[in-house]
Amino acid sequence: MKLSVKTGLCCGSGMCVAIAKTYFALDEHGQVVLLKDEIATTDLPAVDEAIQCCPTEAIEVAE
Amino acid sequence: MRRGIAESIPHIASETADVEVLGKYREKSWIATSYRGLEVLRYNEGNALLRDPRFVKGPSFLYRLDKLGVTSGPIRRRWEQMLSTVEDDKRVKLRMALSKLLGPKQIQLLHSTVAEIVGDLLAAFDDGDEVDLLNDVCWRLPPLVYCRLTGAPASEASNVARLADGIMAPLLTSDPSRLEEHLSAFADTFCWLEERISAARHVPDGNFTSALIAQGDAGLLTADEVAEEAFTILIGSIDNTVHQAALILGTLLERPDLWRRLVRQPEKAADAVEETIRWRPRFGTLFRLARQSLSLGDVEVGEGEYVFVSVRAAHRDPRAFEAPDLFDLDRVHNTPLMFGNGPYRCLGQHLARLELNELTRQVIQRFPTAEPSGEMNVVDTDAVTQVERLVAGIR
Repeated sequence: MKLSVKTGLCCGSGMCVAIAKTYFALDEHGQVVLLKDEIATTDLPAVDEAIQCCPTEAIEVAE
Repeated sequence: MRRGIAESIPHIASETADVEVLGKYREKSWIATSYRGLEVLRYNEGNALLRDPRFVKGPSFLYRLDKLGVTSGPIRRRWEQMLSTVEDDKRVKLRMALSKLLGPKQIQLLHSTVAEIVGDLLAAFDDGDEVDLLNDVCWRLPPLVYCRLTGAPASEASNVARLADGIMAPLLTSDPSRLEEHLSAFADTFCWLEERISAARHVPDGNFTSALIAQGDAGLLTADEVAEEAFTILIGSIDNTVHQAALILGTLLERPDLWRRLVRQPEKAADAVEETIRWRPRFGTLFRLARQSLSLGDVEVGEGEYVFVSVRAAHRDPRAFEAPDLFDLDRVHNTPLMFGNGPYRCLGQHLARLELNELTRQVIQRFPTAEPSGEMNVVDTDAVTQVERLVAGIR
């Protein structure tokens, strides 16, 4: 499973960083940056939570 | 005297919401001082400030409580536990719980529900009537939607409107003479919500209240937090949507050519909503508190200092909007700042937009020949714009 982010949609809420900080960070403009795109099985709940809590649906997972 | 490039920062001499006056200052400088502190007047700089992690929002809500006179006691302490005021880990926890209910996908599922409520509301009027759009339409829709989404009976809608307005109107108009109204509505609202939560506990019905209870049962929220989150949904979903809805309908009624165009092109209703949010935003000011001493460009901001973003001025910034003083239904890349941005971006904006879009589309279709009956009365405070009268003839 691979993660991707649509930076154009990101509003910089930072919820993804608060929930799964090993996968997401914000750059100096408050824009989401992906730290890694392969999701470990044990991290699936946290990544899923981050996806659910993104107010602009800027995070996606592809099989 | 302001530190940094003090001498070159203009000072806004008197309190004003006039976009022409604010525009003159905006064209001199991206930032000004005013009676209340630093004011950011341009779009890009305002947007950057709202996303800047060196600023926090929670204290700005407490600032409003201070101005109203809610400075101590149990109600102040309870306010200090809410999503509107908390920061850091607790804010993430409370925001997560509501994000799951109010995300774009979840709200999209409510489209037919909201459309049905709007349709039922407008069906009550006959041609030839004079319609009080403010009180009989705008003040009724958000409470009815709230009741449906939280499992409350529709007969409670007028009570919900009274409670939400009793809490929010004194706060947003910073009117200390309405302190008692605020305190009493606050206490009544928690009593009412505790009853609703208790009812939903016995008969779960898949609504927002049940979803919050489930998060409590899963150990994600305490019992107090379940009630506080329910409170946040209630106060956040009524007043601002009511007044923005009235501003949209009133602004369009003042432009008969646009009204006729929307009758022909109802698919443009969402563009009309977005353009009115830019043109006449309910929220005229957003503000943040600096966590630390910092520099904004050449301007130094002290730790604990408030910085205000003038949404009214930013929405007319020619650097961000072509021909900004033109009300333009065909505007592209129209992204108003009114719902905020960054860490505190409004969670309820998807629900608000759904209601505003559906209401605008259906009102224009239902009343294609509507005309304003007298003027829309509007009051601008330093924080918000309130509509006090909006009547239309539907001959």
